[in-house]
Amino acid sequence: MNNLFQFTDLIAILPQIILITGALLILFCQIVLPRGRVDAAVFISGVSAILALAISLFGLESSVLESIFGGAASSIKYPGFLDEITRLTKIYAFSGHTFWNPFASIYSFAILCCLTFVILMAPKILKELDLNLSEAYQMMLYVGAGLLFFISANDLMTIFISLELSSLPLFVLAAWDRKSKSSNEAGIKYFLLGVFSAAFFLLGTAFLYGATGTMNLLDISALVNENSKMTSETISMVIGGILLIMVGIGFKVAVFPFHAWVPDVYEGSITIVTALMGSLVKIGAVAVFFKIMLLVAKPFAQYLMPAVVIFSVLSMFYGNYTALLQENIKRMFAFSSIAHAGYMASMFYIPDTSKEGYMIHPETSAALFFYVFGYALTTVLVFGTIAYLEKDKPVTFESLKGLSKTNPISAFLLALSALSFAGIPPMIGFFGKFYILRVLLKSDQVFLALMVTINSLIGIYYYARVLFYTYWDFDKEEGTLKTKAFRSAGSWASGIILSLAVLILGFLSDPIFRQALSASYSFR
Amino acid sequence: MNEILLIAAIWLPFLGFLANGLLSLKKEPASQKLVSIFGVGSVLISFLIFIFLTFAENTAIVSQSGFSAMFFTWINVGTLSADFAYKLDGLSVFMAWIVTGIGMLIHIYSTGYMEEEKPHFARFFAYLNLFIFAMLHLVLGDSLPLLFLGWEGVGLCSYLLIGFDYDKDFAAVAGKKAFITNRIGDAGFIIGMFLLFQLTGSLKYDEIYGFFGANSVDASTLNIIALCLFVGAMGKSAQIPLYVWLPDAMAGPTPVSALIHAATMVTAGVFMIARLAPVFLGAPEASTVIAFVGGFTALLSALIALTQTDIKKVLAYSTVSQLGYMFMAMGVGAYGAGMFHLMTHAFFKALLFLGSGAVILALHHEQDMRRMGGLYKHVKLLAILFWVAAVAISGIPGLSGFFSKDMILEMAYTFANGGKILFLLGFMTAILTSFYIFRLIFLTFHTSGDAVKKMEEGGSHGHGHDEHGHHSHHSGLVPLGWNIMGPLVVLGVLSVFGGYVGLPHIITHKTPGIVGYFDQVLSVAPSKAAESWHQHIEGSTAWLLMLASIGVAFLGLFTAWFFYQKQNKVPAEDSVKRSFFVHLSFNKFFVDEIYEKILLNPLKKIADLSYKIIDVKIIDASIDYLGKITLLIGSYMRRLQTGVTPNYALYIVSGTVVIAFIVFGGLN
Repeated sequence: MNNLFQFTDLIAILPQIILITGALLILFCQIVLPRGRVDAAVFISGVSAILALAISLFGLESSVLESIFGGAASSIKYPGFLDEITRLTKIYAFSGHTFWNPFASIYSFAILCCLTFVILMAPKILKELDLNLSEAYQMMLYVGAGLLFFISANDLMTIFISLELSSLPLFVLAAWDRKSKSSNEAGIKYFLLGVFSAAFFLLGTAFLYGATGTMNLLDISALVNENSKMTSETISMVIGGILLIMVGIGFKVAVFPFHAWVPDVYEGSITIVTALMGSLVKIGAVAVFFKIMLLVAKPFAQYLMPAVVIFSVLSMFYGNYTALLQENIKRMFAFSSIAHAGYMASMFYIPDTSKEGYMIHPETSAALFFYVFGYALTTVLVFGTIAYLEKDKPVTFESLKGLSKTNPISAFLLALSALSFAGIPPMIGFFGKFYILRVLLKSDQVFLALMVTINSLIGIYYYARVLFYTYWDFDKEEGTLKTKAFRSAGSWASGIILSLAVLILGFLSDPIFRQALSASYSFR
Repeated sequence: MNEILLIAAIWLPFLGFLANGLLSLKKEPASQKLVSIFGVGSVLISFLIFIFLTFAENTAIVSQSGFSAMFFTWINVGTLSADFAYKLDGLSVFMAWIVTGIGMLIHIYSTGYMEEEKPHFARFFAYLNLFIFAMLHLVLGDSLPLLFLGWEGVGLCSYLLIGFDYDKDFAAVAGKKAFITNRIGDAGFIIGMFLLFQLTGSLKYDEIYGFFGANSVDASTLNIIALCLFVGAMGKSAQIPLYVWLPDAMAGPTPVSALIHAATMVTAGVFMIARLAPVFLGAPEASTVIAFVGGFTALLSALIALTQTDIKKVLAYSTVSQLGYMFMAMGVGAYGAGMFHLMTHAFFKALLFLGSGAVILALHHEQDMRRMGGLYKHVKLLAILFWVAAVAISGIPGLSGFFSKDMILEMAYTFANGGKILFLLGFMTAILTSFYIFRLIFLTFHTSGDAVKKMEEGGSHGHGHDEHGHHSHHSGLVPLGWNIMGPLVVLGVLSVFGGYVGLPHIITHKTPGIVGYFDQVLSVAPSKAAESWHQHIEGSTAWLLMLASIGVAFLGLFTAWFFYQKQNKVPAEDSVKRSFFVHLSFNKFFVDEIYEKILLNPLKKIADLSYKIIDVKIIDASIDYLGKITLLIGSYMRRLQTGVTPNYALYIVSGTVVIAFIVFGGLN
């Protein structure tokens, strides 16, 4: 190692560099442009998010990666697809601290999509709330950059630092509405619990380091998979470490019983921030959870399986049952997000029974990605819609009455998202659930499949309530919410794109699924 | 090139359907000329293509495999594959000629008959074209799934056309009845199809034929398959016990009765038996059952036809009766005779129906024969054509019906398993047929009454069952145009000469032409395969049988003349008390009422009970409780969400501890 890093290393983190540069530019503008600084911040954050998104799109094309990083892409014949699926040789940057492979690129793409939509929707709302400070955009860019590092990190320390990089701005954003008590409360709660769970994560890293003597995930993976080098003490330490890391990231994913912050923080924060938390953070946390399970937890499947099942099943039931009785829409969606975390967690550890040598069924990663991507897009759509819907008071079911008359567009979008969450075809949520169930059944996880099905059924109740209140003809009453849907060009654009995505992406699932499938070979 | 022509011939009526269907959606009625051009033109071109193909591909058609054309792949799963592929062979070309030829004539006739139905003209032709399209799939498909597609398609069209005047209750009810009764038959047909697939591993005719050519199959297996398939034929071709829908189907416009419920669709069952000849010829017991069902159907419906007063009802029961003859022929293995009778029947029954339609039209939608009579003076040509058809159906020598019916009766007589009884059934039917058809002729065209006068006097209670009876002016007969009379004349010529393709062997001392044809084109030669089913009879016996059936034909004619012309009897009004047997016949042996009592009412009771108990008390109630319990659990669970941050931290810690216990418990 002659140099600290190579030029290609920088390319591997190009989206992150763009986001951070954008954030720093905003900081710079605050000094040189005292008047127009907010508009500049909006512009810079939008441009850098879109630029990063465009670059991450190139990352989806393996030939581009190949020409930059060298190394031949190999392909795999996967049953069920007519043609071959390309997979890339591993690309590691910064002496193996980060990587840039199909796994990272699809999740980066998903995160940057959501980030772009949130940034497009935010300015008008923040202006109306009189909270339009340039720092908000800076924070959003930091969150995005932190999450991108988070998923492409290959080193426990890098993972932890990027976790903090994404969390700290979120604490600030959660408390963004300084004058509001509930927003302050949300911020402080999120901060306290976030720091608390981060401690678990850190302890888990220490355990893993203690057992294996390295922080590098792939090295740890190689070690734990080699039985001869493991003693019973190191095995216990590794399992303990994985458990503690599961707690730390489980907090971010919001699985039961680490979920408790979600309803309070989602409800207390201003809604556009909730959209950010509900989508971006979920994608990042799910990706890293899966990555760690894939790489480190593989040999301990039989011990860790109960933990995964408990997390998953309890989250589903808790989220769904509690959501049944909520009157506040944001709170209802918050509880339902716990249930969705449960559905996703059911993917986290599935011993493959097809005996092809994969411990985890290759389609698992694809199904998980498809689910979380669809979920995140729908989340941005629904919270974006609610953000433009509410005025002074939170949106409750009661206030949704007659909405289809006063504000048909918002009513339609709420209904669309609710149907997608509920898993009704042809919305994207249906395909997500379909793939999850397919993988579960392919891996003989009948119990989990049954749980997912039962819970989807329960969920339909409260999602249908959204439709019921918005579209039911309450004696031809006029709705009480007089706001107009999407009051800016940016939010219109993202609203239209998102609703189209929710409606038709399911039919175009093949290319997405293919990319995600190739991602599941990223680490082999 | 010819493949494309064949596909075009089949799909042209579909284009006609699309065009007329679109036209029928317009708010104001579409131009009748345009609709007629689409409707008649598509079928006419299709007919011409079939004529061309018959000559152009003659050698391929009469060969075993036939001339085939592949359009596109339809189903391809596992070992089952079914394509939109067509097979024009000796059997299907025979049917295609009848379907498109008679279909075309009836389309032309309909342009006149439906002329005053201005708002529904396009819709009518759309359905009619769709019917031709479906019927061509039925006869030309190269696999059973495609046959079944056509089978259901013609069923749908039949339903739509019976209920054409959907705003009239009796039409809608009759349509439903036809549809539901046919579904019962279809269930049997599908099961038969599955069993056949299980046996042969394919549903393509060529592969099925190949299988039967290479393997000898146990008769008991084939008996079951054949009976299941015959249940389907019972529905579609109106045999006991599923015949009840066909008489009611006369609620549809008369051209529909002629095309669908006499000439083409109802013969689909007969066609299906010929198509699957190896199955039925390998199932002697099932064939005997088919023959007897046919025989009894023929007799029963002829008995009912004796006393009906609605001109179309008589013809409807006559159709059921003639279909019975055909099944009798198929059942005794005389496929040539059965198909022969199918053809001649198509000619004279279409003529009778279209003729009766002309009468009905001329009399401003009067269908009751009691209010007719003496029409001969007014419509001479129509009366002559009617006489031709009547002579043909009654079996008076020289016209088409004589040859085919006589062939069937002779084959029935020689049948080894109860052939004498079958012959007796057919023979009795022949007397009755002759009687009821001449009764119809005398009541309608002769007798001393005058339909025109009756119409003018009793216009107030002239209730049309056919369609709108809202003509305010009842002055004289409605003139019949060329487009009505033209097809009738063509059918009249066919009814006269159609029988000469099957001259009896006792005259020519050769195998009748049509029998030889079907021996050649079917995959199994019926007269060879069924040879052992028949006893040999002397030529003199055959002559005797023929003379006897000629005798009864004249007997029926004479009796009808005696009662209705000489004695000038007119059937009594509905309310008059009748003698026991006439009462039975007039009320159709109460079959509908019996079905209602022993089948429908118990079924309704069961449905009612399962709604009240199983649905409301068990299913609904349990769902309600499930919902309540779910909400209750939710109300407890939400208490976990205290809002106090230290509590949340406690959840995290205790969760970690519990999980650690579970995981490490498993480890040790």
